[in-house]
Amino acid sequence: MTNREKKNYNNFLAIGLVFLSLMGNSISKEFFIELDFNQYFNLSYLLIYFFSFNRFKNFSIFLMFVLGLISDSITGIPFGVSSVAYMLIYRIAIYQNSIRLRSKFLSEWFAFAIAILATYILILIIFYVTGRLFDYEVYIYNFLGTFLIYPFAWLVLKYFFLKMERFSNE
Amino acid sequence: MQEENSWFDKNNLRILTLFVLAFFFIYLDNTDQKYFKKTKSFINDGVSHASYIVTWPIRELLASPGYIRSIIILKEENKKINNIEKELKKLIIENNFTKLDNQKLKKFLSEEQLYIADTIQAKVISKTKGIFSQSFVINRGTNDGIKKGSPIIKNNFLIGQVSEVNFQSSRAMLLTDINSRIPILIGEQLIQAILVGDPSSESQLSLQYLPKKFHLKSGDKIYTSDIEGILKRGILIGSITKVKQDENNKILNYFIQLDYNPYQADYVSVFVYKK
Repeated sequence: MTNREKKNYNNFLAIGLVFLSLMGNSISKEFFIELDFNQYFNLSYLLIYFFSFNRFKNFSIFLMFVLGLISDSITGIPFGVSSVAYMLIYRIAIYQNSIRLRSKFLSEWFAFAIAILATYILILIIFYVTGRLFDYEVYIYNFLGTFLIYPFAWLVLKYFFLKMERFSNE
Repeated sequence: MQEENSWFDKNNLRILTLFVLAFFFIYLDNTDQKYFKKTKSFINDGVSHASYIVTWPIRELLASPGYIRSIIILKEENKKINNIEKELKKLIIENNFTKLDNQKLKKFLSEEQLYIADTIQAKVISKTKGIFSQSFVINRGTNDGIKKGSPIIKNNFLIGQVSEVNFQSSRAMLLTDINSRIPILIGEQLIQAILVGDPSSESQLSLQYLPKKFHLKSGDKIYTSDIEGILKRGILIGSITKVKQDENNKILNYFIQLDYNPYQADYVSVFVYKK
C-alpha cells in the first residue's frame, strides 16, 4: 500500500500542504494575533514525516532541501538550518519505512518521536555553534506538542488522502 | 551489483552532497560572506514578495467577513456622516468650520509626527512568530536607505529593529525575540538597563544589567537609550505593569508591557540614516 504510487494530484496536494504550513504562520498572524499555536507544535515537521513515511511521490531529498531554504527565508534563521532539519526527518522516515515489517501505528509514532527529537537536538547544536540564542524550554514544549498531536493529524490525513484516492479511482 | 549495495551509491552520494551543501550554507551565513549575502538578499526578496502574492487569495478569503462587516459599518457611518454634514453646514454659517477641520487634520497627522523627518513608511508583508524567531518582513531595503539596526516605530512606539537587510525588503526583529537586545532608560530617574526578549516569561520581555540599588515601580515608562549610538534617545517602548515581590519585599521580577502589539501593525515607520 505504502510503496505504490499515489495519484498525481494527491502528491501535489501533499506538497501544497507542506508549503502552506510554511506560510501558515504569516497568514494566521494577520487574523489571530493572540494565537500562538506555532509555539506548541511544528506542523511542517509533522507533514514532512507523514508524507515521506507514506512514500508520497515527488517527496525527494532535493525537495526537502529547497523547502528548507524557503522556510529559512520566511522565518529569518540562517540559510541551511531548515534544510538540514527537513532532510534528516525525510531520511529517518524513509529508513523507518524500509525496515518496518508490518504496518503498525505505534511503531510509526515512535519513529516520528525519534526523528523530531534528533532534528531538535541537531538544530540546537547548530544554534549553539553559530552563537544564536535559544530557550531550550520552548523547544521541549514544541517537541512534546508535535509528538502528541501526531495521532490526531495521522487520523485526519489518512482519512482525507484515502478519500481522495478513492475519489480519483472512481 | 556490488556498487549498488555500496554505501557510496548514487543516492547516498546525493544525500551526502545536499547535507554538506546545507552545512556550508550555514557556515557562509554565519561568517557574513559578501557574495553569499548578496545571493541571499535576492532569494529573500523573491521569497518574501512571492509569499505575499501566493498567500494573498487566502488572506482575502479570511478577511472577507471583515469586509462585509466594514460595509455594514460604513453604511451606518454614512448615515452618521450625512447628519454630521448637515450640522457642519450650520457650522460653516457660524464660521466655525475652519477651526474644526484643523482639529481633525491634527488628529490624523498625529501618527508618527514626532519622527516624520527621519523616517520612511514601509508595509509589513509577512509576520513570523514561532520557536525560531519573532519577526516581520517589510517592503523596504538597502535601496531605500535602510540599514541593519534601524529602529522600527509604530504610533511613536518602538516595536523592533532591522535585523537583516535585502535589496527591496528587510526583516525586523521584534523586541520579544530571544536575540533582541535594546539599551533602555526607565522611569523618572532614567535608570539604564537592557531590554531582552524572553519567550519563557509571561510578558516575553525581561530586564538585564539593572542596578540592584534601584527599584522600579508599576507605571514606570521605558524609553530607548542612545548609549550604543544606534537608537535615538527617548523613543517610548512600554511600561512596567507589575512588580513581583517575595514575603520580605525583595523584588523577584518585573512585568513589562509594550505600548503597541507589533503583530497589529500593517504599516510601520523605519528610521533611515541620512548621508
